[in-house]
Amino acid sequence: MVMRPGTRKFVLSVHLVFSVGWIGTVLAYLALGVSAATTTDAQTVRSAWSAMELTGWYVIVPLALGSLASGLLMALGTKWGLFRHYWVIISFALTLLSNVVLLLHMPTVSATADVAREAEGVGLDALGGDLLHPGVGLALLLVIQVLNVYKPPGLTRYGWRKQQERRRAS
Amino acid sequence: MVDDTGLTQPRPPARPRWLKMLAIAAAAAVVVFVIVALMTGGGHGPGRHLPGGEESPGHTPPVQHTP
Repeated sequence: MVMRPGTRKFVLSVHLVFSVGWIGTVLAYLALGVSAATTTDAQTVRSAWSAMELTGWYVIVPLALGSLASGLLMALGTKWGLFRHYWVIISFALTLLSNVVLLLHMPTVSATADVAREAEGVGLDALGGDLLHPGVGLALLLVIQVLNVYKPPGLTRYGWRKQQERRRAS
Repeated sequence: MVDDTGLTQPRPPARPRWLKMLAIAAAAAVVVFVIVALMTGGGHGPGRHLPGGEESPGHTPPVQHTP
């Protein structure tokens, strides 16, 4: 079912807020991860891991889930569809993958933040930062962003078949 | 063929060039990731985050808080 123009613009606005907010928060998370990895100050390591845990659970996870849900709505409620264009499929698959990895990774972040609150000396130094997940995640989000803005052409077999059916019906 | 939307094509359109380039780039990224993981001990993978998954040396296991 195709959304009405007013509804489509509202859902698009929500989707943009979630998606761009997600990228911004991952950048902030990455800054905290770099800070935890490079500082020699124990209090900074503890603060960084606490902030990463809070930012992850209360900002990044809701934004990621919101982006996934609103993206799905945009695909199903517009002419683009979910399986008709390659760019939509790849965009959705990467968003889903990012959500799954994020939800699998966050308990590790909480566990490390717990350790950071109580550890001292070498134990605290050994924690390091969190660079791999936000770094790869940021790269994936930028690929998704580029795909969504440029919308590179390319119909799937399913999309082509649907177009042919519509053409024959009209 | 008139355009790439498939409107006037008798057969399904071929996979676009950008898709092939993206697939090659993704494959290259995976290969680089695997090589780096092997060179650094290979302790990282999705299984690490699952229940019973092995922790890599750089990560600390959860702490049980007791009252």
